[in-house]
Amino acid sequence: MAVTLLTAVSYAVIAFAVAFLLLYALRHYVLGYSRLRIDRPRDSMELAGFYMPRVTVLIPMHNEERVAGDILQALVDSDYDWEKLEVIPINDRSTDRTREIVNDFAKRYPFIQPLHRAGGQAGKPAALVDACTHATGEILVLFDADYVPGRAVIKMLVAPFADPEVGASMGRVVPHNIGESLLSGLLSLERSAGYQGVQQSRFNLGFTAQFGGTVGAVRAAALESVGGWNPESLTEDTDLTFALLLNGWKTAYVNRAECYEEVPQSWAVRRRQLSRWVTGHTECLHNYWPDLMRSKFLTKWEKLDALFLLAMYWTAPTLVAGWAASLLLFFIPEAHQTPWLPAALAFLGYQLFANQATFLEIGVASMLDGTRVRSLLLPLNLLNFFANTGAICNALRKFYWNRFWGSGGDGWYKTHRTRGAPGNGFFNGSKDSSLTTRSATGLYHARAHGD
Amino acid sequence: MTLTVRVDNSPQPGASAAGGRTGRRDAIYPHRSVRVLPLSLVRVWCGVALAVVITVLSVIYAVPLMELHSRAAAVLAGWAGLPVRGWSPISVFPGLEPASGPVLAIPAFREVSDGARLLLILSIVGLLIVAQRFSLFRNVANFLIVLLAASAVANAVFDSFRLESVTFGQIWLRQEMLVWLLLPWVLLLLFVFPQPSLLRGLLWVTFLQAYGFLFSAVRMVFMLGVLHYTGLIFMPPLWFLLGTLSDLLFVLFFYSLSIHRSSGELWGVRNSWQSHF
Repeated sequence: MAVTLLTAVSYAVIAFAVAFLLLYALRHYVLGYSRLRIDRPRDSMELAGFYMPRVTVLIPMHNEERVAGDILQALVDSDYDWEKLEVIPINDRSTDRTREIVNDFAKRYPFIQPLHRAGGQAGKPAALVDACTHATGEILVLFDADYVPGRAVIKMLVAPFADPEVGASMGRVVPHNIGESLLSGLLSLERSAGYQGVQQSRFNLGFTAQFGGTVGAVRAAALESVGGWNPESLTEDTDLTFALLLNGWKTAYVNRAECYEEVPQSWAVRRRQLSRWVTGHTECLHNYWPDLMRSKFLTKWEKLDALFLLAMYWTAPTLVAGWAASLLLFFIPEAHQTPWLPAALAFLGYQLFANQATFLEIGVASMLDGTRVRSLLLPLNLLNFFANTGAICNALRKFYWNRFWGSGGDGWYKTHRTRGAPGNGFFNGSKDSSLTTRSATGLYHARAHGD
Repeated sequence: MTLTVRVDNSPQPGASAAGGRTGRRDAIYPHRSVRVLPLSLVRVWCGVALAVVITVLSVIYAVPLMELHSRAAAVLAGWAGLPVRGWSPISVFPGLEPASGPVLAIPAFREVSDGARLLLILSIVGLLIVAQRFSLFRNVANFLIVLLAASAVANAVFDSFRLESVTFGQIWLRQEMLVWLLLPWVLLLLFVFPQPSLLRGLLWVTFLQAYGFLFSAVRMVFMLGVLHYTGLIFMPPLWFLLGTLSDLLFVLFFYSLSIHRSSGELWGVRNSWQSHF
């Protein structure tokens, strides 16, 4: 009796896992193919430089001496009209040379107006809340401190706001430390699929692009209309994406607005980053799904897409549950007599291990990007997949434990930077600056090194 | 001083590969943000036709296919020196004629040699070291340790737990038969639809279908060997690694090679002035 029950429960779990993961696989195929065959990707490049409202660039910084100089120099070199530009580096209680570097730039360039925080709630969302009270721009552009925007990126990010319905815009994140470790190479493939593939595809299909909190811009009026940043959220960007969506604002994706970032080079850093994303994202799922379902602004497809986006981390525990059920069935000899066992095993294996569809997305993005050498790393992404699965399950376990018992979850923390030592930054000839050189004309050129 | 300007109007590789449509400004190197690769109807029909043909043939000739698989496995087992006593008829799916399953002695847990038990301990230790030293491999290694430990406990506690080699062959063929039916469609989606060369895509599908068939026989014989010499202890982790995961891995391996090639020929080689951002 107990064995029969266990067998039945195991089959039910496997059936659910297969169905749930099949839906996601279908979504990946649709988005992958949709991106590949877009006749004319939606962008606003024709407007770049013609629509130039007053802009405030916000850069939250906490102990960023290794990178602060690079991003400020890149913004000084930006081709946006200085008369319409305000840059607010938010020095959030740094204990290193960040204050000194920021003040040095402020002395030389009047449009740089630093904000030094000495108290209040810690973390990026709280820093942004403070900075917004000082910002004078019609559009707020956000960069993390380790990003290096190209000359025209601000113009490109601002261009979609010519449409009064656009509340936010999002640019493309491109890792620059791709050759530093196997993990950074794998993550660069993942980023490529996420932006070149999924973001562009979703935007073209009429779904809302996901605002990523960096290399992005938000209309100050739109931000105010949704109550500003949520300082309690670990992923204030996802929170804002759905707050804007529910209030009828559009988020545009600008694939051409590429900005260079540093992806984690060690698994310890990556795990913490992933853990924060999972917690913040799942929090948004619980906060927003009832309103999303009731929204009168959204079509049923937009609702479905938003749900897919919010519930995406649920695929990991579903998969693990399917594996556990398969393992149980393996040890139940009675189950071997039915032809459905191998069928279930095969389907689950196909589903997951995975979701070839996600690999299709990576392949599509690699082809469009012209990525040659790194595309050979594709099979190794399975390792990344397994590692992610464990980290996501662990983060979800903590999230629901804290939610159930009402204890405090993980606080906000900054992703560790590995770029060179102080004064050895992106533009100063360090080994990490291998991606770009700055020409005499001020343009940043990619060095000819294949990928 | 004379300044010479040379205008090169020859079509870009990407333009011709993508049917002359690469988004905007075909005449110059298209920026990656606007690149596209449209899917033509010819490509869809040719790809679907090939997948249908392979699937239908696999269904119609399922029994001879499985018999061929068993023969290939028998040859490989002979080369490997496995003492297969014979091939017994097995029912793979209801309604189908039986195929052949290998008859091979598989020891119970208490009958396995000390060497096999030592191998179990060494495997767990080895995986622990991998988990400790290589963070990216940690979850896979931990999962394999769990599978090994669960297997060892189940074998030690439930002495009656047995898996006959014929049953193993039956389960293996059921699983692989499903894979062979699904494979052309997965390959179609990865190799034919999204890539620039239709002919090469069709050849990839045909080649990988055959490769998958032979690779299945190789893995089956390897697992039979492990079963014969070590019993059921290593079965769960091996099934995890050499079952459908292996099918996925070989597809991904060849997929990455094809992407590597397509990426190189689609957009040509960029010059430094084409790469500014």
